[in-house]
Amino acid sequence: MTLTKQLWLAIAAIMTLAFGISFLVSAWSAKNYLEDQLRLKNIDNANSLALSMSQIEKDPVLIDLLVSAQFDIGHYKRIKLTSPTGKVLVERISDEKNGDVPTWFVRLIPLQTEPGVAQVQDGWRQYGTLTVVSHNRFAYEALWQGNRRLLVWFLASAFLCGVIGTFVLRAITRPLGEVVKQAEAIGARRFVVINEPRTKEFRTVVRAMNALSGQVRGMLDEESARLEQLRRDAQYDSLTGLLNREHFMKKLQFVLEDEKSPPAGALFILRLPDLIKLNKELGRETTDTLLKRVAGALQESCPDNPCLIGRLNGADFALIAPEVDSIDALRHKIAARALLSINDPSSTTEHALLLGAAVYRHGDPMSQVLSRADMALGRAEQEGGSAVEAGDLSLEWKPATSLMAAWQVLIETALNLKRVQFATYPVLDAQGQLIHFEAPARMQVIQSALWLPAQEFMPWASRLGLTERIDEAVFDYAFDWLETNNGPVCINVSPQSVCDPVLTARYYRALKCSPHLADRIWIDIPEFVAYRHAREFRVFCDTLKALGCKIGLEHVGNQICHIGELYDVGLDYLKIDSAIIRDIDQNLGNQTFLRGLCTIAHTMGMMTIAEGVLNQREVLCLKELGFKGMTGPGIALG
Amino acid sequence: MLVGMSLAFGGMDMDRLMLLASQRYGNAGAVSVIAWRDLLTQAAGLPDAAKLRRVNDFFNRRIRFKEDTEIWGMADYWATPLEVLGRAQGDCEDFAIAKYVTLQLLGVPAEKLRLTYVKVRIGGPQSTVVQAHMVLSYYPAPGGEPLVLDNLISDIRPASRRTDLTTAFSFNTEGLWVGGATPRAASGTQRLSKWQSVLARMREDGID
Repeated sequence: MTLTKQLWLAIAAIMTLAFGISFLVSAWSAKNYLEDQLRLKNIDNANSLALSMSQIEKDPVLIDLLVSAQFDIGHYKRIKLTSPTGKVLVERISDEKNGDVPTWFVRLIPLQTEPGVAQVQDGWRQYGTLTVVSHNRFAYEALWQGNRRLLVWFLASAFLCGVIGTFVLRAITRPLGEVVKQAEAIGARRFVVINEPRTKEFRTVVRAMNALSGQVRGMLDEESARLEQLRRDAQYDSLTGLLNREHFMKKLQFVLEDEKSPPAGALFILRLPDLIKLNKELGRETTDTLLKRVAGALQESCPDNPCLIGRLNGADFALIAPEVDSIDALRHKIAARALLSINDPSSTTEHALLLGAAVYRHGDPMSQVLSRADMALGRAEQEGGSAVEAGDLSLEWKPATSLMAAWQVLIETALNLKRVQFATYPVLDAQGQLIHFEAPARMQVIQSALWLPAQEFMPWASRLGLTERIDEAVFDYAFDWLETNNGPVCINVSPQSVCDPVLTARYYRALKCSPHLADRIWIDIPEFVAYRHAREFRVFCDTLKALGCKIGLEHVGNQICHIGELYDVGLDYLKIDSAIIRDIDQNLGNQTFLRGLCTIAHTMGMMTIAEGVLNQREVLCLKELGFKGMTGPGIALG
Repeated sequence: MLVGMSLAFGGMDMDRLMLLASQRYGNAGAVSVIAWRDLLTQAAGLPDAAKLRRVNDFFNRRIRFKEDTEIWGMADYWATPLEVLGRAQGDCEDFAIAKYVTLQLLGVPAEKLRLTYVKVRIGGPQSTVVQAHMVLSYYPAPGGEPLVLDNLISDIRPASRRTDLTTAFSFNTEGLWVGGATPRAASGTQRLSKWQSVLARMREDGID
């Protein structure tokens, strides 16, 4: 029962009690007073009538008239004259009722009025005894009206008390609502901190819960820092801070296989042929510094592109440049910067470097790409400097304006004809039960009736600014799909859509209209969005999670150190990047890292799902590490 | 009640009455009250006529007539039997009331007794001097002629032999407090009639 309802009940109870008591008191005192007054009136009237009768001639007609006159002008119930022997001489009885006073009220407060008795003399002889009883109708009417007024006043003041009480209670409990929300948030493992309310008791509670949130947050921060350290140890070269060979290779594999990665790019391999000589000449420490400078040069070479840079072994560095517009331009840039980094301008001797580049396309086998890069490196050695091995691919694929226009037509046609849908891949829990269907977008080319995977058209959609429209189309399709399929279904939402309040509002309205579908819709958001667009991301989550949607991050792995910052968002799951999952059974470093990640995620109430799981060995290992869900080529509905 | 009380003086508190009498009126008062108590004891078993005579004689002999203004300093004060006995003074109402109460205590029923307002002609049948007076009437039978107990003459005579008296109105305690109702102190004696007031004060004295 709500406090307000309890307050009303309490007021009703108190007022009923108060009314009952004051009714009893007032009725009792009024009853006594009225009885006294009636008694006195009876006695007075009996005596004055008896006095009049004693004075006159005792003519029965005259006596009768006198009684009638007294009876008619006053308000009497009964006037009776009896002879000394007990014979009734004259009697008048009124059958008047108690007006509009209900009989139950009369019965409740019985007015006992004593009759007035007086003696009538006939000279020395006793003539008779006169008994006068006044009518108590007026007394009852007065009592009845008085008590009705009393009741009305009590009802009015009870109502007033209730209204005032409700307002006061609302003011008092307003902070309580916040406290409850915080408690619920903490129950849902969202460790939020709220402002301390002014009410002392609530303040104590909020302070305690804030302290709890703070402690959890501190613990999460520490834990994520430790995880980050683990990850770096497992995935990065300790000297240069670049990806280590193992991790770099996995990334390369992912880039070549993943649907959502750009369709083509270039792999660069940079070799320092004189490293051993340098080591001897300059000493180990100087060589280390040199290697760090090379790493820095590579990172500077592609500041805008999402390049992946690794150190393959002592003297070899590698760089993946997806979505690069001109390989040659980038090759010259890298070569120039790297040369600068290893050569002292004042020195006369020049240290050489070799740079080989291989063009790849989505779907190329890794070994083929690597051997192409090796060939390029060989050619660079012969030709001196750098070389590119493109295979059968063109070196330049900067999009021609005509190509942009063609894609625009293609995508817009598909959007208009509702040919943007999605494919479904199951995500299963450790017992092989379905968690949801992963749903990457598909778009049909109308002319050829061919369905293109996301990685083919998404880069173009992104360039053309059509991402939000594709997200919207996928979202709409999810609704249709859920009408005929059980789901749940997990759709992707691009960073642009997360940051678009109009689209968020549209999602909200659509889900609000179909609440039965909302809890069957899961939403994947890329990991970096949570940190780079933290504010928009929180608004997006708060808005849609309130309707029952589940929201999580995908491709998680690179920004684990920030995971503690999500303490107050209440995400439902994390999908761990396949680059970390790949061959997990053979990578002890990543195992330690992932075990820690699972623990921290569960502490924060998030489910962990492994992406890109290939085989049963990985499955067993992941289960052991604490993963609750898995997806990938090795996972299929049983 | 007064009627029920008459058997062996009912709930009369003689000790209290004595105490009050000696406190207020000294030895003489106490002696009067003792004499009154003796009267109540001795007359208890007698027939009504003998009771009437004893009581009438007791008060007519023992109490001196005086106007209220002399005794109480006020125009018309109805005194209780204790006050009358204590001071050994009283006016016509005081005589009548004291006799009435004493007879009641002796077991004479209230319906046979009346306090009667009369007009008295003073100085023989031809006199024109009249005065307001009160006597106690005793009705042996409901419809019959009463005996008159008066403080002006020492013997009790039937009403027909009291040609000097003309009745005006009479009353007694009948129907006054029916149903066990007693005048409450809270209702205040000043709101009661003189008759009720004297009855209430009497009760406080211990004559109940």
